[in-house]
Amino acid sequence: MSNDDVPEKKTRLQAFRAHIENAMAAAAQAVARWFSAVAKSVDSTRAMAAGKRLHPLPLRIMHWVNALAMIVMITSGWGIYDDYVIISGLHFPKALRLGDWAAESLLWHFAGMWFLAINGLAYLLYGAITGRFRKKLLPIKLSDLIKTVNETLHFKIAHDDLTQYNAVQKLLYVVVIVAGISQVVTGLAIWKPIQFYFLVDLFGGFQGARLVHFLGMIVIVGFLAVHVALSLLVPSTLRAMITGGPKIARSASRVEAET
Amino acid sequence: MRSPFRPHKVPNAKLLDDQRPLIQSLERRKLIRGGLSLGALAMLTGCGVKTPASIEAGLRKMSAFNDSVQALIFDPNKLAPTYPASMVLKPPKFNAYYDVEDVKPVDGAAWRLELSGRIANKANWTIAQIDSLPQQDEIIRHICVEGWDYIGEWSGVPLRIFLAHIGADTRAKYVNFLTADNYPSSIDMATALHPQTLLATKYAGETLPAPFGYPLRLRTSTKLGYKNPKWITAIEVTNTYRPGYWEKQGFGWFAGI
Repeated sequence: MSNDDVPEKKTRLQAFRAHIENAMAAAAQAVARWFSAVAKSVDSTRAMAAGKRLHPLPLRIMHWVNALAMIVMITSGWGIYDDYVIISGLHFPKALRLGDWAAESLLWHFAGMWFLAINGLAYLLYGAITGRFRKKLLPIKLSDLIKTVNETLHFKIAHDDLTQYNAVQKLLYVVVIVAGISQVVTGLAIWKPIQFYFLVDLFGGFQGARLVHFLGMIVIVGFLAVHVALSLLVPSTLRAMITGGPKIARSASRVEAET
Repeated sequence: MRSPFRPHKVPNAKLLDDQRPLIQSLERRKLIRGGLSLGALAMLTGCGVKTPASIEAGLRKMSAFNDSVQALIFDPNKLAPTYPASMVLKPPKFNAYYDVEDVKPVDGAAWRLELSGRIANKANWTIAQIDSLPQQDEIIRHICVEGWDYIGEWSGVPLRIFLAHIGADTRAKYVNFLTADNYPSSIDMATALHPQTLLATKYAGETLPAPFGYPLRLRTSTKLGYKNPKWITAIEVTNTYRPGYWEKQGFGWFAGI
């Protein structure tokens, strides 16, 4: 070991100390950051408790239960339909049908109906009691409808504010809700045409009820195609139906913050 | 004991010797691997893969639950709508698990109705004896589970009158039927006692034609078509549930409309 080594040793020691100091500073910073993050998340939890989400949790659960029940009802319904078609030549391919044959499709349909009807009833009660229907779906003005259609035709699909539905959206939601109710009523008529024959009379007989049930399916499938396509075009709407979407202040329906 | 799966004729041993190299090249491991990927492929396409047993069992449980809900909905006093004679379809629509050409007509003279179960008087019945009981005529809608329907005119003795006549225990749960075409069927007692449930012997005022159940069939106004057995040969009143022809294959038992 030579004398020249000493200063070098000193600098190495200094470098080591600097290193330790840097590390400690970084650790302190990390801890501080972690605390501030926790504080922030507590704040946001408080904010969440104060303000409601665009899609509150019960609504999201009902939406996805309905989505699953609808798909079960539609695809099993196709299996039942194929045994005696309404439009000659129109058969649903086996790959799209739920159930290997009519007996299985019927089992699915008569199991799925409970989920669809009970969940649907809960949704209607929820929408009516919380005022969601009134706030979100009404009023539908003809002038707004024309404006939205016009904008859409010019490829201006505005979805900056997810909490406000445009007139076309409102109309589509109202139509599909009415179609859903109609499916349950016509379904009851077809299921129990003697016990509930007043319902059958409402649709001009058993085959009339069958036809309206079939048309209701077409409306719902049509809605589903548009609904799914738009949610994929504007993914924030799909995300909102999973996470709850933007928060809404308790009193006003203004957007407080995008998360 | 000799295995029933063993072939009666043993193949020529020389065949085995000739093919020995090929047999040796077959590896069990390869076969299993090939089988697995074939199975996976079938799963992927969704073709030929049966509904899993657990789901099937769940669906059947749901169907049994629906049977009890249907029994609750059933109003024993509610009559099905009836229609004018001008709306009666002649001849009626034929439907069975086989084609109309395969119907085996029943010899009415030799035919006897057998009775069993919770019945006081189990003597056999001839068609003349059944015809001597009070008759009822009704023009009602027939609705098939497939979705088609037609209006038909049926005559015969109301089942509740027949059951009273033979001293049946009407507190029993089921009335079961056996038929000449091997199509067992079973209905609940409430439906058996419904005023429009007939042991039908006539269609549109004429003796039942062979394809529609001659000499005796069930006709109920409150159940789907498949709950109306034709060519009845035996009736049982019992608390024992016996699934019918279609019920065994997954269709619902109550099938009320």
